[in-house]
Amino acid sequence: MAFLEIHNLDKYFGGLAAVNNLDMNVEQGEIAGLIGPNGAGKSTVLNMVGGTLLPTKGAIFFQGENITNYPAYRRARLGIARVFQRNALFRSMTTIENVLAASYLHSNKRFTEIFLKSAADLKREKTLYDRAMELLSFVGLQKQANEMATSLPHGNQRALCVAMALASEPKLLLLDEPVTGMNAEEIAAMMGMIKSLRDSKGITSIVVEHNMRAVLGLCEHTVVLNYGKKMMEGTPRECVDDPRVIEAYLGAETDVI
Amino acid sequence: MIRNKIAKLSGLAAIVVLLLFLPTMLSGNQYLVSVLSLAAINILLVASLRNVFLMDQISLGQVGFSLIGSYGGALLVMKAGLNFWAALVLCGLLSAVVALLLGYPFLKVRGIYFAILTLMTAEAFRLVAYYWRELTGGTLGLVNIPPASPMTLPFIGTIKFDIVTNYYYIVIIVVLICLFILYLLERSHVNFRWRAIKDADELALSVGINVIWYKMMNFAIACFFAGISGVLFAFFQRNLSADGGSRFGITMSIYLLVYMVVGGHKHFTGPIIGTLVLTIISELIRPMQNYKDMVIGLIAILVMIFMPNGLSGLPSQIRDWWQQRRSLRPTSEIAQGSDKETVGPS
Repeated sequence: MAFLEIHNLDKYFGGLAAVNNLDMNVEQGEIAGLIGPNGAGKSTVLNMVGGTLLPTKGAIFFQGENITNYPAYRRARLGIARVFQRNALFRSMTTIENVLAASYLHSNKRFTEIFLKSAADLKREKTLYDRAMELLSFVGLQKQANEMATSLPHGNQRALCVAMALASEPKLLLLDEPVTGMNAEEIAAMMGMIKSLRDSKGITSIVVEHNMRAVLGLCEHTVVLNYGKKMMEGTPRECVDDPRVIEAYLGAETDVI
Repeated sequence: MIRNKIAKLSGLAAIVVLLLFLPTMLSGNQYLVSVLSLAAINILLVASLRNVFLMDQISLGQVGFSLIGSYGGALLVMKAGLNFWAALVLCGLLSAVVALLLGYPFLKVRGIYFAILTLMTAEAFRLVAYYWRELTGGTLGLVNIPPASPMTLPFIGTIKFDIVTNYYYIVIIVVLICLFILYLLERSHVNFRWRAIKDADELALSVGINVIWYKMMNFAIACFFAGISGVLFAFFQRNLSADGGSRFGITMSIYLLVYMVVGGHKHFTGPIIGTLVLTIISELIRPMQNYKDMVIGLIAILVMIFMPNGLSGLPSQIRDWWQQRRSLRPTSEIAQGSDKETVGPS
């Protein structure tokens, strides 16, 4: 049994098949890529794994457990974390508060803390704060801890999103276009970060990305989607060199003429 | 920090002491004391509205939940022979349970849809109370509600709550306790989660927060206090009516919203200041009763234009304005200086 198994997954929006009969396995410790032209259904697949969308048909198994109809928060508890495509942040909060809010599953707050904080409560609070600070320094944002998160530049916001996803100590990380809109330097930093997560913490990742250089440098295994169907599967090099994939992205030679 | 805290605490203690001695100071002026009691009851209702607003949801149905408290409290005491205090807590809980049940479907929608749902629910509750003659007295209203059960205190003796100057103490103490709990809640980790949900609910879900449960909890807590406020009202007025122009009608819902907006929704003190100021103004213009809605509406519009953060946001608004002025001063001084030079020789 694979780490994450997707069986015959279908998603219809009205009559439109966004994802059609998708089978896909992700092994533990792998960085899997999900590529394909615009509108191929990549983000839809990620949303169904993360729980934002429920599939029309099919099943998803995570570590042998059928999570097909679990709400997103229960999946988070099982260890699935997301980095959304747009920079989803808690707008009214500072950088560190964002990470603290994302540490919900580890905050262990007692009901009585509303009325009175004991020494043990304060100690737990301190531990949580230190942990959040550690995460921020891992993504290189410790200096901006007390700035408003929305005032950070795009690349930093993206890094913050990763820190927030890590705050729940996930086993599986779903990254929706992690390097989009970044400059070369930021891309290299983000790629290094995703790799080191796998190497140091053993976090499995699924990456949806348009930047082929990032996919080639990052993933061991890629699935190509086109019109909601799996077109092919293999190493990123194999996929990128395949004439069918090139045709899906650029069109056939005959189309041009 | 500590000095600041002490100053705040002693200020608060002074207000509490003042509130407790107010009836004596007003030499038992029934009119003023009843205005104050009603204002306090309304403050609790506006505070409950603001608790829902912490999640950026506008509830126009708080009067409906206060109706559950009012009728529930009165009927429990009159028909079931319950003690006032038991009825107070039970009806708060009853409102909370109803809110919990309705919250599940209601809180799946946001913004205007939630406002409409709550508005219609309150109207439905009101109409039930208005037409269920056997239980609520129907269109005739529920009359002859007994006063709150007398209390025997050491040193003071037995207090009867048949006159408003005595009942005032119950209102003030209960409202203060409720406001204190709401204040603690707002400063706690629970509000931190409500804020996260307000900011980005999809993200909150993905970090593991059970969003719908936290929303239901917020709504239930708010409605608990709306219910309490309702019970306090029932034993203040001692007769209840549920017709359209009554306290449980749509106009009151709008008024509660206006109180919150004029007071300012960003600060906890907003509902208190807004309700107090507008209550005093409505009492002052009592001779022109027919124009009351117009005057209050005008004030609300002016506050919204010139004080977008409401009356409670005024100090920080003035501070910002003052700082802006000070940072501009050097240039204005130069302008004045050159002005004098040119004026001088001529």
